[in-house]
Amino acid sequence: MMKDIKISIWPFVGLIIITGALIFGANTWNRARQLTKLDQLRAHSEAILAKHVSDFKEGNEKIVLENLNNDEGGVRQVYLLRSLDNGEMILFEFGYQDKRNLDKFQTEIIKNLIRTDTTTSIDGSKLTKVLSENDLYSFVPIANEKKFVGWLVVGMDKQRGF
Amino acid sequence: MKLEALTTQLAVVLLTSMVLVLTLAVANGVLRWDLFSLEIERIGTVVMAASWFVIIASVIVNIMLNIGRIADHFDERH
Repeated sequence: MMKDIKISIWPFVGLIIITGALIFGANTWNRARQLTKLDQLRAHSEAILAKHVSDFKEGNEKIVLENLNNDEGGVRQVYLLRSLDNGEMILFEFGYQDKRNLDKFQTEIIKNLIRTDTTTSIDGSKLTKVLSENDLYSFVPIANEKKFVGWLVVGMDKQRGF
Repeated sequence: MKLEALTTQLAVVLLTSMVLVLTLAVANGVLRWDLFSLEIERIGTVVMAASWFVIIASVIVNIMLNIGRIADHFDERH
């Protein structure tokens, strides 16, 4: 014969509350961790950009560096380096991407760059065809994390070369 | 403290902890979180495996300590 077993519901309620708090805390921790990584990536990207600007200055007296997206703190940063002497341009795009979709993303981003017909510059002028199919581009992973990769796309005029 | 009480308490505490840790591990995988570095995850895996071994050992010890009672129970029923 079975005995009546009385089970209190409160330990289960407690466990559910603790689990919820744990998930919430872990999510907050994860976001803070990603933001820290993003800051590191941005610092790394800016160092790479500074080197390119320095190299570009050697052949061009007047240059302009523009940040084409106003998304402060955003994942993707787009810069255009222009020479006012001869109109040469180099486009830099930095970002942070989930590794699972990297191949697809890599193809998409390059397609998007090539598709860009006009881009509004900071001074209001329209820059036609920042990159065309004849231009060179390079996709470079610059930070390799467990689940994410930081990347840099450099696109430039084919005549100038890398 | 009796060995039986010790192993039972140990198993209960470790099992409860494992439930929480496994919940986190599942959330980490499904939601594509990146909670810890690879080194910490490796150490965590070793600690978790060790905890499972202790839980299994505790259960076996409890069964061995109570094997007489289990046998008596079966004798009463047949």
